[in-house]
Amino acid sequence: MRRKARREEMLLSIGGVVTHLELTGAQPVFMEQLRARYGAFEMPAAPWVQRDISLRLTLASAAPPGVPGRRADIDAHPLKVNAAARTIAAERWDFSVKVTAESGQPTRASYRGSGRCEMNPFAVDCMLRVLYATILPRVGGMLIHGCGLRHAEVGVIFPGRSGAGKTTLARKTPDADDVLSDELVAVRRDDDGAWRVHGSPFWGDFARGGISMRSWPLRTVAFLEQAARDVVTMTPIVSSDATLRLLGCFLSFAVDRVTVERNLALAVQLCAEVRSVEASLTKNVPTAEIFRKLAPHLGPEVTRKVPPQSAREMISEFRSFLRKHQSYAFKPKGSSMRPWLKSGDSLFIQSAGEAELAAGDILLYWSPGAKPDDDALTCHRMVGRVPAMRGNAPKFLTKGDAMSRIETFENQRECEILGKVAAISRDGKTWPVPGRIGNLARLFGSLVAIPILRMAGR
Amino acid sequence: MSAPTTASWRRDTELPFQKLAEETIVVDPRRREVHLLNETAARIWELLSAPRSVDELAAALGDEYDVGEAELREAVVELVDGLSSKGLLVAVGGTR
Repeated sequence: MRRKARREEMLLSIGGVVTHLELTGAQPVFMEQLRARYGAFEMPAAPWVQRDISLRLTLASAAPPGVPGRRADIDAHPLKVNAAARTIAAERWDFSVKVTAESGQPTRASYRGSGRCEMNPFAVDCMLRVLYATILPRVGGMLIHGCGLRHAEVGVIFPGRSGAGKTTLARKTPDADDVLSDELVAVRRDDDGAWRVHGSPFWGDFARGGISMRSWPLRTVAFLEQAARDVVTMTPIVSSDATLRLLGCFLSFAVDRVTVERNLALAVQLCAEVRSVEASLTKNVPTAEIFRKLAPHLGPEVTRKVPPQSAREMISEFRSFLRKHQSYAFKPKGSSMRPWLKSGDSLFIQSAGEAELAAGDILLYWSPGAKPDDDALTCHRMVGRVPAMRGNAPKFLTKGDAMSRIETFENQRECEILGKVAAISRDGKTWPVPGRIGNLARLFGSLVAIPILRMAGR
Repeated sequence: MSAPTTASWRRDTELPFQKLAEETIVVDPRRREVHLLNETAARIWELLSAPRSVDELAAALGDEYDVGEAELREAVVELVDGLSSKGLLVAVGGTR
């Protein structure tokens, strides 16, 4: 009797475009590789989340590099992309996919399809790059070959061809978390029509991409040029010149007329609305000096707090803080945990694996909604756990203290547990959640400089 | 190679382009090239939406540019040559 092939799934949100991957035949080690690369852009794969791309992939073992005939196979099957109005097909020696549009709205895509792929992260990465580069422009966005950096509360992209210095710039950025990507960044308009830059999991040699789905207002496009001397110069360029340069860094695999016209129009719009400069520098110039020279071209109020574009972005950013610091603080809103929680309370959340959770713990979890603004951070008490049975995944049971209804969810799928409450702060006093006194000293030690994320402030 | 002066030319209708304030950007996906046409080249590109000879182009531009007839014609020939050599124009017919 043949064993049923393993089926895994991932839900990714990159540049606001949500892709559901159903992966048949995926081995655990391969899923680990994918999560190491795309984890910051993964969200709970709840079936009710609106998906822009739904792709069923059948995975096959990757061919070892030295296998006879491999070279010939690679040479015979280079990347081919065919983008029509409703279908996108892409194939290469190691993958073949086809997706078809189910509905066409100007700001939202809905593609469904299937394909096959070798169990090789590079094959999956190439396939995703093709899909995102082709679909993002159809919803008003684009993938730009460039280094994206967050600076204070704004984003800057430094487009450049290979060897222009994108990875060098990323490497010397003092805080690596400010790097949105050293290779490809997603740029898209927000609901108000302003351009925002999103990090991406598409890396270059810097070997890591953005840390969350959070996007930043795009203030400046700084085209990288190598300077002859270690001096930084920022020279404003007119929009036509900027458009010309941007088109050279606009990732596009399809060359049909409609695609090219669409991409051209987007590049023209972006360069007409966002400041552009030529950033002439060398690898020896420190980042601080680059931003000192760039400051006059960034516009006003670069430090003014800008809220995340959606609840989804906010929660993804919160998760990144928690992953980095292992503990974080936030102010909840709502009344489902009264009287245990009162208005104005601050909660100190600690990362926790499933095995560390027990009934009575107050969990903080990501409850995804259909749309990005429907997502919520839920803080409810764990009342139990249903172990895995008859092929079903284990489920968590939770309840708001002020509510009678018990919720059940599959962790990582319907919701994602981010951590548990370790301490609560009220009226200037802080005390541990019962049973957690031992952790408190360690927790506060790491919380001294951590700001509180204000849920209500979004 | 210079453009045949009695031949007619039109812009390659397969090439996507976008008109900016004064300039025009033309993309050639087959060659993966992007061209930024300056104001005068952009005007010629605009005029070549329909087939025109160099003489017809020079006549059309004569009213718009304050320059001598010979100099204008020479500039038009040079621009048509340039656009043609980049594969942006299609010869419609005629002889030199």
